[in-house]
Amino acid sequence: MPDAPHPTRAFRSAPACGVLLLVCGLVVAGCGQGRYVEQSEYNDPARSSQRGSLLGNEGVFSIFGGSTNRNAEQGAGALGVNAFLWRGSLDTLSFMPLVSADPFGGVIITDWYSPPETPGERFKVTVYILGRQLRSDGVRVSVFRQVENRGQWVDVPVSQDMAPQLEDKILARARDLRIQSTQTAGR
Amino acid sequence: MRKLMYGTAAALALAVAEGASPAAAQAGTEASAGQGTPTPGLTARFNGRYRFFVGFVDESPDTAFDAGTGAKEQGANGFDMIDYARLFPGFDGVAANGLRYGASLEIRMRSGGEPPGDGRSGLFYRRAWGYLGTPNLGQIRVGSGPTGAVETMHVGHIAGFGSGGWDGDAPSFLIGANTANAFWYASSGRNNYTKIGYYSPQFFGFDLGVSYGPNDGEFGGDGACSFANFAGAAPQNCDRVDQSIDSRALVRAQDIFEAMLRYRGTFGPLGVAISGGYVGSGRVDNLSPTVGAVQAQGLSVGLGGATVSWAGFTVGGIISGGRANLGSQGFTGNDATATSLAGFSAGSLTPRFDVPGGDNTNLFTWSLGATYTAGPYVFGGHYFNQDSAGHQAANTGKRESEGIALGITWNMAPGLALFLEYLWGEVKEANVDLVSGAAGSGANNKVDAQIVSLGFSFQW
Repeated sequence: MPDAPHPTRAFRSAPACGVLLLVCGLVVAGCGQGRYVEQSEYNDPARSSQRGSLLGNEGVFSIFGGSTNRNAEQGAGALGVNAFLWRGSLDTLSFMPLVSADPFGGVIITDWYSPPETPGERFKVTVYILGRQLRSDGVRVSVFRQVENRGQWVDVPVSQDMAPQLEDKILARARDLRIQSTQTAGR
Repeated sequence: MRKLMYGTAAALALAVAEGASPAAAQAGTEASAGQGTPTPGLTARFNGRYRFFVGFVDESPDTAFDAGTGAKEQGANGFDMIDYARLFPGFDGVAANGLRYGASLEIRMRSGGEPPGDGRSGLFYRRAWGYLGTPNLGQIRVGSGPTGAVETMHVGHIAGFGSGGWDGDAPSFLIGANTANAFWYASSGRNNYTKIGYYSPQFFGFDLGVSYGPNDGEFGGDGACSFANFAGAAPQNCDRVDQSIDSRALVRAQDIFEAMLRYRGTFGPLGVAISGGYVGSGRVDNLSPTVGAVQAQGLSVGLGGATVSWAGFTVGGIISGGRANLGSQGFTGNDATATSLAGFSAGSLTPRFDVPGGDNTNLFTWSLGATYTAGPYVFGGHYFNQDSAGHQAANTGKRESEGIALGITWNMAPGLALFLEYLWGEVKEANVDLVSGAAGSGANNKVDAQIVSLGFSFQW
């Protein structure tokens, strides 16, 4: 006959499991409004070794035609510009299709993107990363907007605040990545 | 970002204005991350790191003497070269339904102990883990390594300079017990057990993680856990032991629970990250019938940290404290009593005993660090201070350790860095020989070390 479960182990396990389930339940209940936290945002030695690596931020090769990595477009190779601004730009604009991404020149050009809610207008963004330093003036964004008029796309003005706000978003993401990088454990 | 694109130009301007303020951090957080769905597929990784060091070492003690005659028997060279390599194979995948998943390994060179001329004896797994999750529900991380909440999410630990300071490779120059174990939350002694953790999405800058591991072992238990060991030869080698008369098994933690809450945000030019959390556990029960047998106490430690980043500066600190000790007691007998505690080995977070009339100091540690990045150069340093019970034989007093590290890194090219690093550290405990681990000795009550190292780091 097997021994009875150790009473102290059962008692110790129950509170921990209960808290775990409660937390999971709360999060699930509030789901749908959050942002997925990427692997690079955790203290992960496998990811921290990639920063500033010879092969760029991630990956040696992709298989089955696609990539989880928004930086895959930059390919394998060294960066000529600040890696945090580069990664921050790609993360910020990842929902838009890319036409080109030049990691040596520091230029990212998106294709025209129409939000599903407003199919009659579309946007295109160009990002210039201006150097190797993480500076508040190290990124410049240009936004282009068109609206459909009788079957033709016509250029229209863009709010003057839009490009600076995109730059702020990219800088915020770059700072976030840099904070993570300073916590690299050496062992 | 989508808010910037919706609606008319007027609505866009309003949405952009809302998204920019710290008070609307949720919108800003979503925008800054770019929440598009990645293209389905797999990406394989094979990253790695190799470091080569030249070091000048001054440590005390670095000589050994004959116990009887007092004649000097060993001396140490103050100049050395070391190297170390790690491999990080892994992959990340996205399924057509949006499921995110992947796995990683960390493989390291087996270091130390090889006779001259034999070269390296092999590789070992340091960590192995996997994850799966969805954008809306968060993710589960499983395995050994960065799957526990504390290691995975703590902030304030500044080691991004040189080889990592006291959390880097340079301490490998040192002989034995002179190594101060600076950062228990980043060390193999506390994060290697096999566990499962849940990590939430980020809401308004906040995210949380909780994790649980039933036993203090990994890879299916300790490799030396034969039934002969379990039955009494060396039960400390079996991670599922939770009751024992053998004092060597009593320093294992059981039912290890970790929780962390983290905030990250930007306020104008400042980047801020804050974390707070807890580690708790059960214990291995002492079944000894001996009068005076003492019980280990489960872990109960809180920690908090913060990092502030502005322009090229990053400043951070982390503090922890609670019921725990640093290091296993290395018992030699079958009974843990107030007078039988013997031996010490430097280690990480371990359960502390409550010894009647003895030293039951709770753990208290803190560290501060900073880095400054100017172009390809990184200047950095950190200081740590630790108080713990140490050796718990009666009335030896607390163990104190502290250390400082300074470093300069020159990023010569992507993946290639040259660094210069200085470390100083000291460990002291009254009436404990910190070399042999024996209590009741006036020898080696303080050990210290200095290292100046110059090295190359290659990363791919």
